[in-house]
Amino acid sequence: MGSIVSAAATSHTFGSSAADPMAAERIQAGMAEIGRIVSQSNPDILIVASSDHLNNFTMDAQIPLAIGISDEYVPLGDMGVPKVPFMGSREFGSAFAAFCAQLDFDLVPVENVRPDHGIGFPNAFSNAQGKAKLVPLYVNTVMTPSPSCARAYALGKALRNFVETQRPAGERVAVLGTGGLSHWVCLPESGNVNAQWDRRVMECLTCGRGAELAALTYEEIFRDGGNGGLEIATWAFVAGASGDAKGRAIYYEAMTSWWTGMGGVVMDVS
Amino acid sequence: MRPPVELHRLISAAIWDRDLAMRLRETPEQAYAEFDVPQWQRGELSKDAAAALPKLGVHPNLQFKFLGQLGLLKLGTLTSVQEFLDTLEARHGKHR
Repeated sequence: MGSIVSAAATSHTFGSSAADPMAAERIQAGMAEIGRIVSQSNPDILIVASSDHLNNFTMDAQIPLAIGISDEYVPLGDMGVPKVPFMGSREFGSAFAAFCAQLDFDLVPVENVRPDHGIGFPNAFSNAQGKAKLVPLYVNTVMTPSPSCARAYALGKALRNFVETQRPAGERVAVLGTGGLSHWVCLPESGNVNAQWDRRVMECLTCGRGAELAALTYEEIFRDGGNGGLEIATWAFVAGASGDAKGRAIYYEAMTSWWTGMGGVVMDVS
Repeated sequence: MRPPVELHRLISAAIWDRDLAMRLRETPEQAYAEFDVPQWQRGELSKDAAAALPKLGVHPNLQFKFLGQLGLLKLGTLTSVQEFLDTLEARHGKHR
């Protein structure tokens, strides 16, 4: 059997340090620390779960859940993420999609995607050398209907089951959920940050209360965390994949100058 | 309300097609015509694109992209991650 050797959740946007250099530095230090922990767990496979930002998916076919099955990925390059090719794992992605089909999850296999900053940026700071094969997992919260936290949490549990029962002995898998925290994209509330809600989301992971996160409804998240806050479904995915382990907060900043709450946690899966 | 599917298709296509993105910026009427954007929507967009987008029901993420494509994005904080990534080796070394 394989094992999940590290799991973390983090925001995936980035902005100028000018307005608040100290806070920006704490965010960068936090992201670097998450990257160090994931990298030092020596994964063979790195699963990065994020919503696509309507770069690879369109409104004509609103695919809620998808998995990359390419042999190689070249980041889209938005936000300045280097367009350096990374190895993928067709075998892992395809096998997980097939496994999920047995569990009534319709995980759409996708090829020829150019991961945007949601996947490309966390991969760049966690897998800089490209040693781990990247498997993008799309939890497309930009779609309507948006995948729920409950669905993402169950998908995380499915991943853990898959790794522990179906994968080769000794295979090491790292899981990274990215997005959030509270932010409002092109809405009248744009620029708001709900720090209290952000802290609650983080505590759900650090205190092993993934089920509480999974119980959050679309309406609650939209109200308290904004349309961008829906991305915390990827955090619910991490909670499920971590077997409800506890974790620790690595960083948090209510980054109003970036129009978003920025946070990161690492799970104790060892 | 019917979503502005034609405009959605135009914005999505312009992400990947530089020539189209240039036409959208320089001769928007031509780009709108190519994607059959309804005349009344073109009228709204020509008056005040930023105000028109939510009125037309454009998806928030595509509003963001459209404003960027037209050079109207007012978020001055966007920056490249490259400088941060260049510090990783030093930062990771510090932790070892």
